Amino acid sequence: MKEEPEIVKILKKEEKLGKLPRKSPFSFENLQIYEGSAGHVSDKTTMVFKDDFGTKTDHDKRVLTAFEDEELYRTLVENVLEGILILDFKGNVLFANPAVANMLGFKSVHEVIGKNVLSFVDPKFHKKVIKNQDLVRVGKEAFLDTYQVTTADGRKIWVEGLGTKILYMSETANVVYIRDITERKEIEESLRASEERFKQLYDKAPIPYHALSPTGIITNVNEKWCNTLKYTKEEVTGKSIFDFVIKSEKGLAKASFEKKIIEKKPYTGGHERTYVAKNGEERIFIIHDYFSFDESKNVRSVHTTMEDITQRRQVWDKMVKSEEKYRVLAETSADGVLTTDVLGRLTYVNPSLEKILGRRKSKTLATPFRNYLSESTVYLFQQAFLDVRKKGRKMENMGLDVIHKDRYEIPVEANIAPLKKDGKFIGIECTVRDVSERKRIERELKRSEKLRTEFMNIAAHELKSPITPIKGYLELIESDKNASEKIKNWARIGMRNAERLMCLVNDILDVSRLDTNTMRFNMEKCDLGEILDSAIEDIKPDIENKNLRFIKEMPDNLPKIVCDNHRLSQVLKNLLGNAIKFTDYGAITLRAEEKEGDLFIYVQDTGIGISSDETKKIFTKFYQAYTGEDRKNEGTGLGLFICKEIVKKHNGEIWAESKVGKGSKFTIKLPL
Amino acid sequence: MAKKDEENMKKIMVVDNEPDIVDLTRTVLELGGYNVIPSYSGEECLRKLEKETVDLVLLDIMMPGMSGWDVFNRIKKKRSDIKVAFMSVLEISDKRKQVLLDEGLSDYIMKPFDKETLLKKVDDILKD
Repeated sequence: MKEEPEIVKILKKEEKLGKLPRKSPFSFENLQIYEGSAGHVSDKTTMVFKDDFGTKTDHDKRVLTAFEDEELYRTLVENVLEGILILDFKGNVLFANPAVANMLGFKSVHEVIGKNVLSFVDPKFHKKVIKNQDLVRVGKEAFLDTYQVTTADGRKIWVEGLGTKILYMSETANVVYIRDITERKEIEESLRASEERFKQLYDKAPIPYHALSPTGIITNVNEKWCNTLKYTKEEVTGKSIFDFVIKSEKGLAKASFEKKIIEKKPYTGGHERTYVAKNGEERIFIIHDYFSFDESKNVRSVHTTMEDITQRRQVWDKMVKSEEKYRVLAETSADGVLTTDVLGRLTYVNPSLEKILGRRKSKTLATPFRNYLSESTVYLFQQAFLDVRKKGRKMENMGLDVIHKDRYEIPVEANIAPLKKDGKFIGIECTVRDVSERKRIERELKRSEKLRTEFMNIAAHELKSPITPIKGYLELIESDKNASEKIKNWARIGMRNAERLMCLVNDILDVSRLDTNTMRFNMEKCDLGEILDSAIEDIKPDIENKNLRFIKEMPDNLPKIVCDNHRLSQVLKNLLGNAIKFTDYGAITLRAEEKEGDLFIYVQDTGIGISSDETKKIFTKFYQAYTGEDRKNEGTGLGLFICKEIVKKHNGEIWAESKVGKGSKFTIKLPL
Repeated sequence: MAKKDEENMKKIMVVDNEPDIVDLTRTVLELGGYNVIPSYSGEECLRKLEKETVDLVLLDIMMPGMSGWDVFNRIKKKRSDIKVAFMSVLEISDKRKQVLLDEGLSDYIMKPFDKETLLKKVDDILKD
């Protein structure tokens, strides 16, 4: 060990005397290293230790100067917020100030000194530390770098270090100024993350976006922008936005942009702009410009979001066109067309309605439509109006009476529908059809129907009336005791033919009534047994005359049916009459049964029968089956037609099954 | 023909605009022993009824001028003691017929009629 320098001796003496104000990190043992050396500790503070402490004669003075300097620097180093580390080039800590200990979570600097700096630094940064140390060692310029460090209490912090070469204890060392930048780093990190999020947000946003410089140069566009206008980001960045605006709007777009830059409003928007895509397609947007400003309130950048309304515009255009079409339709419609506002006041009247009302639209517009309705129908209309408004649905075929200017009423049929705008009821749309002509025809039809019925009644009367005296007098002759047998026979022939005539008249009247739909049916709940009996009663004499057997089969519990008993009885009489007429031997069977909810009535005979191809034709008007030459065709050929029609009116069916020579079976099926 | 005292013979007025039918009906009814007063219109019928009393009016419905319906309603209003029966070619429903019977009609006889039926019906009406 070499001899202590003079100054150390003095300082030690001073310390013993209690003259040193506080304990210095620079131990006196260490102080010897300052001897004859000088260097700077940082850019800001240069610590110079004069190697020449002078002669022993002015020793005291020099020592004091050095001491004062030392005191000053020590205070600075100890109180500075920056950490100061002095390392040898192996990374061992030779010196550390309290800020370092504090930063690294140690209680005192002594815990730091002697440790290798790599023991604090995260392994990821070891390489960087070593590299930077080497740079300092070879005397390269000092520079700033960041490292992650684990503190004594296990926290991860970020530090920023600036290393530089110094002479320390006669040897070159590395002094590093460190600063805790964890907080800054965190802020930076979260900023970066949020920026990333924002970038992603706008990049992936479903609406086109571009950023512009104050001169309109594109600085950024998002994916949707590119997709919409078919350009890549690279193709458009750096170009003027106005290169993409449709030619016709270019001048206007430029002028308005420049104006906005000067106006310095934070937002302008809602106006339309058409851009041309790479493929030449024109896209219409509503654009919203957001301006960001620098410190001097000048526009720094413009951010634009764009709403692509091309499709909407097309639909709109189509709608406008179709509205035009509908307007033309309404104007030329033969029906009256009107619209009203919420209060029922006319907002549109077409020429046909002007005609119906007998009033010019200039006189009717803005007046309530109900003013032109008859007292008896105005309430109906008001009710419908409220219904349409409340329920939002159409009302069709409403019968109203419109009052013409000349005070007469015109019957109309109205359809009312709600008029809506953005889902809100704004009035009604109504078509009005003049039905006076139809009403007139309907009235006439009713009258003619009445006339027809009347005519049929008169015809029946006129046709039947003469038969009454004919039959009556022939009957009187037949029963007159003064009349000869010959005369009586003539009267009988006359009588038979009068009866045939009567039948013919009845049949023809029935057919006419059926044809003109004037046959009246009195539908009532009837007991089928009674109907069958009344029919049987009528034909009984004929059966007896021909010596035929008659069989009636009918269960007691048949339900009642709804029918016109006279008409149904007429049908049965007709069928039974035919059966008797064409049957000379055997039996006539009348049978009824209920089967699967229907009532079946059968009239069966053992007569001559009908060929199968005729079984359908016999129900047609005036058809008479061929019944052999020996049999005179009696009857009108109308009976079965009338039967079929009457059964039809009962919603039933009638058909025949037959075998020539074996007999026929007629079936009536009636719903229960 | 049954010998009946002219005084005791029931009087029937036959109303029809067709003289042949009036004659026929008259013949048949006289054979049945009734005293018949012919009438050829509704108006004539009502006029005669003001002077004469009859037991029964046989009334046609479809006549020019006053119809049988009108005549029936008049008689029922003024002379409800006189019985009235329609004689017509018009077919009416059972329902309608019942309504008429309820209103005081005695019967509804269809034309053409045969002698026996007519006499039987008239006998039945005048029995009660």
